[in-house]
Amino acid sequence: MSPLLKDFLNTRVVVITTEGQCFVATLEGFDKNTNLVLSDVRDRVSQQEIASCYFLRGSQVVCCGPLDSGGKESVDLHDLGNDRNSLELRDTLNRVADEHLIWGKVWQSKEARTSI
Amino acid sequence: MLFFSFFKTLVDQEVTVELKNDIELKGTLKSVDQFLNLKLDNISCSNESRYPHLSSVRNIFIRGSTVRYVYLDKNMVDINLLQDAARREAMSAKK
Repeated sequence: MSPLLKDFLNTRVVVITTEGQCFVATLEGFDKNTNLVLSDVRDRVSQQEIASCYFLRGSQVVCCGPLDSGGKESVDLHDLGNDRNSLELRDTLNRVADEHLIWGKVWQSKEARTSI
Repeated sequence: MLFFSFFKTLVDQEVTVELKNDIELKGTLKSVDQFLNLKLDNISCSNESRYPHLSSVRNIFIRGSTVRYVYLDKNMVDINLLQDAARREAMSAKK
């Protein structure tokens, strides 16, 4: 069991997911696959409640860190939130834009070669 | 297990971690486990104006699978020692 998250148990943590979502929640539990059980899950920017309890699969977790007790910066973030687009996180899937077009071209060139 | 041991030698050093979502975090490496999950202390985000989400976070756990690069200072790594260890690991894998 990975002990790395043990210090964060029962504290408010910021969690970023592979889909690019960012939550603030209380860490209730975890296991060696970094599956997380979270409670009182709120959006990082709008502070809107998303769920009272959440199970997050380990493969979806990017990072997890406790909020400083001051928490004054989160107000800043809320102000910045007016320009929501600037606060959007990328996903971590390393996707290539329009990948299907690239593969289409590959197949075309392959077919052209085999028909000669 | 070579890189697990390698990262263990880097504990308490300043590293920069680039994640697959383009966030770059600079901080002191505090611990590492077998999945190369990292724990950093005193983090600062190199592109904080773009990603302010972690601005009030100092201590962070990063899942190893989402790391793209770990930037290290040149003098943190003993290349000869690393090559030696890599050879030894390859030898033991062959047997």
